[in-house]
Amino acid sequence: MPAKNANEADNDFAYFFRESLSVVTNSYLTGRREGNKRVLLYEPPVKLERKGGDPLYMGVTQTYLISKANAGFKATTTSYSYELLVKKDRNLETLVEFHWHPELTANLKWPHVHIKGNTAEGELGRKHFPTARLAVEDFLRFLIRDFDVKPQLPYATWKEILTRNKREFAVNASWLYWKPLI
Amino acid sequence: MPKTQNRVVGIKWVSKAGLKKALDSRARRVLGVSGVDFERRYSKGALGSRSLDGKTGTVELAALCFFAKDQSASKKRK
Repeated sequence: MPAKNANEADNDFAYFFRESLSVVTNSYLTGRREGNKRVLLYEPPVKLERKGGDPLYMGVTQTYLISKANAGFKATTTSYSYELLVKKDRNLETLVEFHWHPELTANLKWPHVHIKGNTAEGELGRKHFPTARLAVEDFLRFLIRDFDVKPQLPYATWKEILTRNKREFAVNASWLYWKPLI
Repeated sequence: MPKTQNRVVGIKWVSKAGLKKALDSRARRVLGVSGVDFERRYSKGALGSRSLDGKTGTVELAALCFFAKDQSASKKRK
């Protein structure tokens, strides 16, 4: 259901985003409003606790637009970047980055992932592996499941938050898969 | 929408100067240049669409430029 006004659309969108991030961090997001455009980000990347091993770091950038919708207002994502990093020799090194930035790259409009890995084919970090559209909740689950990032909330609570917010995302998203792909 | 009882991370809304700080941090981290240097190159078109995505993370910097753009330049010319 569309929000009654622009502020409500903005606040609702930001609330889902903030609530989901609260599963793994307490850090404040940085935000900036410019007309009807918004950006929310973690820069520098924030530290994440793990169940074991060295800490990891998370960088997030989400831009969105507040616009009129059917009998109300809606917030629409215009780009995202979800980044996982590790500290090596005091420097942050990116492990994986999920991106979607159609307005800035005319020849690259589909969502994709960059994976850092040196292979016989060379460095893969500059390749754009196509993905479905990612919600921040997908990224957070990925961090918890595959990188042992420690949730800040009890299991039942964080699972309910990510499931509920992902469901809300899927219901309201104007698209989930890029058509045509590439 | 229903709000939960759990603590939810806050947002620190910043001015253009605050966003420039974030841009500078990211430009140094990703490209090893200052945010000012990146903005200058980007606004001159020195980073074309293809080269923008030539190095991972450069596009995200370009996205931040919009929010850090200094619009006082036109006022100064008056």
